[in-house]
Amino acid sequence: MKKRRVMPMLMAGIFTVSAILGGCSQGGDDKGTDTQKGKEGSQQEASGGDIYEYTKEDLDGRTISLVTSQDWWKDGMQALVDEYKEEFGVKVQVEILPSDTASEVIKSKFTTKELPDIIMNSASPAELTYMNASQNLEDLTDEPWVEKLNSIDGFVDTDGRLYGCPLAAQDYWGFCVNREVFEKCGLEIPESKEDLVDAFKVLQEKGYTPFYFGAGDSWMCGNITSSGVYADSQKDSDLIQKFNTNEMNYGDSESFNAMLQDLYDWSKDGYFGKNPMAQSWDGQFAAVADNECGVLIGLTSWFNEIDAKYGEGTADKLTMIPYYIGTNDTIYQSTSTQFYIPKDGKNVDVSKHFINWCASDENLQTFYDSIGAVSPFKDIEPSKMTAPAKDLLDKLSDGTYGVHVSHNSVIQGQDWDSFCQLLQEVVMNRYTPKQFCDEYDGIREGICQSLGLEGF
Amino acid sequence: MKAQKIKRTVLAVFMWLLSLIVLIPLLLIIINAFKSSAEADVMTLKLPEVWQFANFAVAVAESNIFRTFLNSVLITGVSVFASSILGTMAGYSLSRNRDKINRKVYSYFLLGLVVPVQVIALIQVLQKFRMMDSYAGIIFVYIAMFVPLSVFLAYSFVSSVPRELDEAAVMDGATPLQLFFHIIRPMLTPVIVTSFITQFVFIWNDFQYPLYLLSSSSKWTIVLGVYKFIGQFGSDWNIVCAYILLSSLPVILVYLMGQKYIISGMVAGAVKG
Amino acid sequence: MNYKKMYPRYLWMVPLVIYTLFYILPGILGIYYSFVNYTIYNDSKEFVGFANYIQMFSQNRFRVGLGNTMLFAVLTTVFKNLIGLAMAVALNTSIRSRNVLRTIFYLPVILSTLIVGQVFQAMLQPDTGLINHILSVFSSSALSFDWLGNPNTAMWMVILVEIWKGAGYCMVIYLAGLQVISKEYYEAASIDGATAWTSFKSITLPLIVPSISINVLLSVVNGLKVFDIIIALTGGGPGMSTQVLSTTIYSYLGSGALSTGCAANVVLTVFVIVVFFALNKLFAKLEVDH
Repeated sequence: MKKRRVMPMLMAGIFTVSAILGGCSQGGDDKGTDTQKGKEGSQQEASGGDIYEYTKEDLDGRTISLVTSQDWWKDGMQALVDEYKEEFGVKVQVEILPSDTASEVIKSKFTTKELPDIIMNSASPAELTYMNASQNLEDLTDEPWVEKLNSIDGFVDTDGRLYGCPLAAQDYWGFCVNREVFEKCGLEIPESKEDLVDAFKVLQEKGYTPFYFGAGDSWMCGNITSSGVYADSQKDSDLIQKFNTNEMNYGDSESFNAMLQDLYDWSKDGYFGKNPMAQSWDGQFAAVADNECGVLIGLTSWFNEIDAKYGEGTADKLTMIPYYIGTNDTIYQSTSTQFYIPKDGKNVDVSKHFINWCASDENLQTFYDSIGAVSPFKDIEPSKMTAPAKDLLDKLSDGTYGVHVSHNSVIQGQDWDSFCQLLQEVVMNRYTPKQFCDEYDGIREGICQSLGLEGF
Repeated sequence: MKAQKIKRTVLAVFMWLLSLIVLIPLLLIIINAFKSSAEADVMTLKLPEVWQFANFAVAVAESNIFRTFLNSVLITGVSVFASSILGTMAGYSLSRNRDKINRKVYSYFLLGLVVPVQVIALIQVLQKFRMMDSYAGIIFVYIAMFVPLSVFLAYSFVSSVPRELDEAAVMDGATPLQLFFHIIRPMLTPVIVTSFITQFVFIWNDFQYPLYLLSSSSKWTIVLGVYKFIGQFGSDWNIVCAYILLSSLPVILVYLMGQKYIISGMVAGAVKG
Repeated sequence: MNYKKMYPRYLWMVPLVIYTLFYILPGILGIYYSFVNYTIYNDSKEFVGFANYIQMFSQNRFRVGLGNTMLFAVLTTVFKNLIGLAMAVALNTSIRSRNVLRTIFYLPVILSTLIVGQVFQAMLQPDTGLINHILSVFSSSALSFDWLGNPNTAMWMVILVEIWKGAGYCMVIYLAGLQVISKEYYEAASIDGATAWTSFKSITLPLIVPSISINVLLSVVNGLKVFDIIIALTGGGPGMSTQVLSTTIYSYLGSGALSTGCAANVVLTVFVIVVFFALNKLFAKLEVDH
C-alpha cells in the first residue's frame, strides 16, 4: 500500500523543534572551554597513534553505540559490525532510525548533545551547520585511512578539516529513461531538453504517463529543482556569494525561473500524469516494473533496490540522463552520508579503531561489493554494479555529462519544508513561478536576517 | 399505539443503518488485524481466509508495547487523577464561598478553557524548571491543561448539593479536607467520573505533547508507539491494525466502565451550569 | 458559619499554582516573544515591535491558514451540532437498542486522532481505498480519485472526518440536555394537538439552549485550535491547501522562526477569545429570552 509519509515527517519535525528549544540553553553556556578541552584531547589521542594497534585483549567486552537510518544502513555494514565483534569482542550497538524521521531525530540529538559514539549523517552544508563540527566532532583529518580517499575536497568542512568518514555510496541522481517504453513508441534517448519534451508529447499520445513524478512527496518537488541555479552560477562565479549577501535572490535567477516555468508547464500539459499529487516516491517502483511511464527521477543506488524488489536485471531497462529541465544539462551529485565521531564520547578510541578497521582494503572491497555502488576510495570498485549505474559512471568519467550540486546545500537560509510545499503549489498550477519566488524569497530573507548574514 | 410501534421500529432500523458509517471504519481495523499481509494490502471488509491470530503476537514482539503501555498508564493515570481531584476541590471551594477574590479566581481558571497553549514558551518554561523530557514535566502540563475543566464542571454541580450537609459535618468537627473528601466528594461522583473520562480519553490519545515534551523514546506513550510502529511496518497493514487494536483497548474499557455516569455528569456539570 | 474557615483558600491554591506556572506563564512569555527577535539561530531577544506580525501577515501561507481555520471551525461546528442533535433526539425516544446505539455513536470520540487519521487515509486511498471501491459502483472513474491529494477536496475530507469523529460528543451533551426536560411538557403539547415538529420547535429547542451553547462554544473553540486531525490526515498538504493556523505555527517552529510562531499563536489566542466572548454573549441573551 502506498502510504503518505507526511504525518510521520511532520511529527518528527515537532519532535526536533522541541528538542532544539529544549537543548538550546543546556548546550550554550560553556561552549568555549569544551572546545578547547576537546581539541587537546583529540590531538593527544591522535599523536599517540597506538590505538590502531589494539588487539582483542585491549578491546574485548567494550561496547560502542552507533546511530543510523534505515536508508543508510546496508547489509554490508551490518556484516562489518558482526565481524568486528567476532574479531575484537566489541559490541557495536546500532540504533536504526526509521528513514522518514532519521534526519530530524539526528538534528535533535545534536541540539540536545545526546550523542552516541558514532553517528551517521548526511554531509551537506545544512547538516554541517547544525552539527557544528569543529565544536562537536572529532577531527579525522589525520586518520590513517584518509589517504585512501580519491580526494578529500568533497568531504571537508568549510574550515578545510575532515570530520567524517565517507564510508557510503556516492550517489548520482538523474532522469531515468525507460528504454522499453521508449522503443515501443519509437523514441531515441533524449540528448537535450527539447528532445525530452518532444518525447513527452509522443508518450502522452501513446497513453503513457510521460514523466512519473512523485509530487505527493513534497521532497521530490525540491529534488527536481536541484539544478535551479547551476546554469547561472556557471556564468557568474560569484553567484552563490551574491545569494548569501542579499545581492540577489531566487526571483532574480534566470535559470531558476526557467526551471520553475518548465515545472509549471509540464504539469499543466499533463506530462506528470493526471494527478501528480497522488504519486509518490514509493509509487516509482511499480511505475518502473509495470512500464507505466517513460521517464522518472532515479539515483544510482536505487537500481539495486528495484532489482531486490522485482528481481535481478529489472532496472537494466533504465538509462540515466541529466536533469533536462530549465537550462540544465548536468547530473545531480548528492552529498553522501558520513560516519562522525562526537567528541565527548567515552569510546572515541574504539570508535576510531572501528572506522579504521572498516577502511582496510579488504573490508572496503567487501562492503562496496555488497552495496554495489560507487566508492570514494582509491582503487575500490564494486565487482558488480547495476547496468544503468555503470553506464552513467562511464559517461561521467569520459566527460559526456557534468555534475551539479543542489542549490539548497550552498545557498544559506533555507526553509526546505516550505520550499517543497510551495513547489507543490507550483506543480498544482496554483502558484506561478513568480508567486513562488516572491513568497519563498520573503521567507528566506527572514531566516537570513535572524542568522545575522551580512547584507540582510 | 400500533402506529407508534411501527414508527419506533422504522427509527431503530434507520439508526442502525446510520451506525454503519461509524462501524465500518472500526470493523475495517478489526478485520484487517486478522488478515495476512498480502490480504491486508487492499483494505476491504472481506473476511480473512485464515484468521491470523499471530499478528498480535508479532505486534507485541516487534514493539515495546509494554513499556509504552506503562508510560501511558503512568502519565495518564497521575495527570487525570490529580487534575480531577484538585480541580474538583478547587471548584467546590470556589462555588461555596463566592466572595470577591474567589469569583476572580474562578474567572481566571475559566480562561484555560479558551486560551490555546503557547507551545514554544511552554518548552522554555519546562527547560527552566529542568523538566523537559521528564514524566513530571508532562504530567504538570496536563494537570494545568485540565484543571480548568474540572473546576468548571464541579463549580456548577456543587450548587445542587445541599449546604446543610457541610454545616452538619463542620458541627461534628470535620476539618475542611475531611469535609471535602468524606462528605462532598462522594456526592460529586458523576462529575468526577465525567471529567475523569474526558481527560483520560484526551491524554491517552494525545500525541502532540509527548512529542513536544518527551524526546527520549523510552518515555513515549502508547499512541506515539503507534506512530513509530507505522513508520516501521507501514507496508504490513495487518500488523499495524493489530497494534492499533491493542493500543485502543484500555481507553475503550475505561469508557465502557464509566459510561453510565457520563450523561448524568454532563447533565449536572455542563448543561445546568 | 464562617465560609472562609469552612472553605479555606488552600483548597484551590495548589491547582492555581500549577495552572499559573504551566499554562498562564507560557502564554504571557509567548506574548513577549512575539515582540522580540528570537529564532533558533539567534536568541538575542531584541525588541522589534510589530515586525513579526507584519512579516507574518504578508505571507500567503498565514492568510491561507487563517481562511482554512475559519472554514473548518464554522463547518464542523454547524454539522457536528446538527447531526449530534438529530442523533440525540432519535436516541432519546424509547427505541429498545438505544443504549447500544449511543455507545456506538460515541466510539469515534474515544479513538485517537492519529488512528482515525490512519484509517481514513487508507479508506480514502485512490485505487485501493474502500470509499472509492464503493463509489465506483456509481461511476467507474471514481476509483482512482485521490481525495486527500487533490487540493480542491482535501480540506473537505478533513472536515468530514472531524464531523465523523466529533458528532458523538455533541450527541451526548444534547442527550444530557434532553433528559432534563420534563415529559409533562410534551404530554401537554400533544393534548393541545401539536405536531412533533412544533413541539420540538417550541419546547425542545428553547429548553436545550444551555446544551446548544456549550456545544457550539466547545466546537468553535476546538475548531479554531485544530491541529492533530490535519497532521494525521494531510500534514497541511498537498501544497498549502489544508494549512490551518496551528499548522502554520508549527511550520514557523520547523524553520526556526520562534518569534513568528509565537506571534501566530497570539493571533490565534485573540481570535479564539473574541469569538468565544461574542458567542457567549449571544447565548447568554438567548437563555434570558427564554
